[in-house]
Amino acid sequence: MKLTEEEIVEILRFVDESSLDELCLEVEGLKLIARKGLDKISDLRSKSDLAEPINSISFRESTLIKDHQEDKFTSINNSTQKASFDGKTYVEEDGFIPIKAPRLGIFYRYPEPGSPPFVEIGTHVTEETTVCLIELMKLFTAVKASVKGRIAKICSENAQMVEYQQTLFLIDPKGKP
Amino acid sequence: MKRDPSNVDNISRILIVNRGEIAVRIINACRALGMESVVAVSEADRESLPAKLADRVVCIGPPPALESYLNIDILITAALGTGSDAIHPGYGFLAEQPELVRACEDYNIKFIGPTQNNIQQMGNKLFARKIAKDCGIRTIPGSEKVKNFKEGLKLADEIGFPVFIKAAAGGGGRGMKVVYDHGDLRAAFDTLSAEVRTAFGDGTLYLERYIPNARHIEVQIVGDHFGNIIHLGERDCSIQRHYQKIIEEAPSPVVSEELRKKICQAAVKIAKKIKYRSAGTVEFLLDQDNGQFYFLEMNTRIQVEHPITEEITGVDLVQEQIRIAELQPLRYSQTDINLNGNAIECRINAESPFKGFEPCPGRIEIWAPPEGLGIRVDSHCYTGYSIPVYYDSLLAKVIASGASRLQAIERMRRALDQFIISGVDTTISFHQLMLKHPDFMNGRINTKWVEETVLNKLKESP
Repeated sequence: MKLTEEEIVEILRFVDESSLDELCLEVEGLKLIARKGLDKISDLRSKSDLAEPINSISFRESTLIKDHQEDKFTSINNSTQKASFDGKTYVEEDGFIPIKAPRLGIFYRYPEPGSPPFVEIGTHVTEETTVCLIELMKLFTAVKASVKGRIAKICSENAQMVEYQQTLFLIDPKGKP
Repeated sequence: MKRDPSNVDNISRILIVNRGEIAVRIINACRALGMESVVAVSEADRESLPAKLADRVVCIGPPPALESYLNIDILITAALGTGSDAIHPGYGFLAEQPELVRACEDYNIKFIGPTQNNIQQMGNKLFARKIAKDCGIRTIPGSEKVKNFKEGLKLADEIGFPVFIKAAAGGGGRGMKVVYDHGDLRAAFDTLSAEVRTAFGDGTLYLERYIPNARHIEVQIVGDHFGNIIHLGERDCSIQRHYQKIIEEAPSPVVSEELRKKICQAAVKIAKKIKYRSAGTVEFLLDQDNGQFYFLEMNTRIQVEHPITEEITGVDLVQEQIRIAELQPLRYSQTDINLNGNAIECRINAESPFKGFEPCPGRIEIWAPPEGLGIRVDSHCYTGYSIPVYYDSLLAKVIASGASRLQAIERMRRALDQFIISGVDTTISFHQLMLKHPDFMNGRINTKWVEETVLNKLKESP
C-alpha cells in the first residue's frame, strides 16, 4: 500500500484534530511519526524513506524547508550556479555540515535513471550512507555522507558538473531518525 | 597564401588548463578576441590572479598536479561541464601530451595547439632528428638508439668525448647528461636510463657530440590548416642554468642576416615536412667555433619566451594560436613579418641566488612591478599573493624592448632596479649581475657561460 501526499495530509490533520499526542505509522516505503505541539504542518516528504519527527525541526530549518518548498528549483539552481561560476563553496548555514564533492565530475542523485534518489531532504543518513554518485568519464564514485544526521539541503542539481570540493548537501547533525 | 576562410569554426569559450602567468596571458588573448575564458584551477590556485581575472573559474582538484592539471579525464569533464568549445594547454603540464589532443578530438573540443601527430613526431627526439636529416638539415653528430652500455662505449669512442647522453623522450633541458670520459659513462648511462624511464615512461637513450662553445638559437614558427607556415625570426636563449633558460633575447646578437635566412628557412622546412599547425619553436645549436648550426629539437607549444618575438614582430602569438584553432588562415605572409628593434626577457623566479637557487615560496608582502616605455611584465603575482609550494617558481617575465640592443638592455636594467618585491627572495639580483657583465654586453657568451663564469662570481659576492 502506498500513501499519496493528500492522504498523508489527511492523516496529519486527523492527528492534529484528535486527542492523540503522537502517531507512528509505518507502511511500504514510508515511516511517519507525527507529534503534536507545532504551529503548522510544514514538511511533507512522502517520497522519502523516512519522515522526520516534525517537532524536532528547529525554526531555522523550518524556514529552510519552507523556502525549499516554495522555490525549490530556483534555490537549487542558484546555489549550483554560484558554486560553479565563482568556484566558491556553498555558503554554509550555521550548525550544518557540508558534504563536499571529493572530485570534479557529474553529480547524480539517482543510482540509475527512473529509480528513487539516494537521499531527499529529511532523509536520515549515517556515515556509511551513499548520498550521490560522481561520474568522471564513465567512472562512478559513490559519495558517502561521512557524518550522521539529516539531509537539510541539496545544493547541487542532478546531472550537472560539480567542482572539486563543491558543497553537494548540507547535513543537520542534530537531526534524529 | 592559400586561404579558405569559409571553414571558420568560431570558438566562444576557452578552458585554460594551466596556471600562473601563462593563464593570465591566455585570458588577455581571449578578452582581445571577445571570447570567454574559463580557468581550471587546483585548490592551491583558487586565489590566484587568473582565478580573479577569468570570466569563470572551475576547481578541478587538489593541489598536486597529478590530481588536477595533469588529469585528462578531469579536464575534459570540466570543459564539457562549463560548455567550453576549446582547451588551451599553455606550456608545461599537458601541453605536449598527444593523449590530451586525442581526448579533445573524441569529445569534439578544439585543442589550441598542434596536431597529435606533430606532438608525437617531435616528442621522440630520435625521430625528430631523422626528420631534420630527411630535410637536409644538419643534426649534431650522434648515434641512434643505444642498446646497452657496451654499445654506448663503442659509439662514444666513435663520436669522441665529451658526449651528451640524451633520452629519446626527453627535451626542454630534461633527460640529458654530459660525460667527459670512459670512467663516467657507466654511471651516467645507468642513472639516466632509470631516471628517464620513471619520468617519461621510455628509457631509450642516444648519444650526441657535446659542443662546448655553443649558442642556443631557436626559431618561432606558426602554421595554419592550409599549409601556410611562416617564421618570426630567432631568439637567442644561450643564457641558461642547468639547461633552463633564464635570459632570452631577440634577435640574436651573433646571428648575421645571412645566417638568419638559413636558420629560419631550415625551421620552416622542418615544420612543413610534418605539416605543422599552430605556434611552435625549432631549436638549434650554433657552434661558435665553426659557425655551423645543428637541429636540436622542436617544441610543439607556445613557449615561455614567446613575448620577445611578439615585441619585435608585433604579432600576438597566443591570439594567432586561437585563430588557427578556429580554422582561420594565417593573417600574415612571410613578407609581412619585419623584425623591429630588440627585445630581452628576464625570468624572475622565487629563488635565493645566494643559497644555491633554493626555491622560496611564501607570501608576497609588496609587489610593485616596473612600468614605462618598452617595459612589459607578464606575471600572475600581486601584493598579498601566497606562492604555492606545489608548482614552479616563476614569478614574472620582465620584457624590455628598444630600437637597439643597448636601449633594450638599459631599459631592462632600469626596470629591474625599480622592481620592488618583498616577502620572498627573487633572482632579480642575479639578473642585475648578468646584465652588467661585459661578456653579456659584448655578446661573448655560450650555453655554459652562467655556470662557468657568473656562478663563480656569485660565490665571491657577499
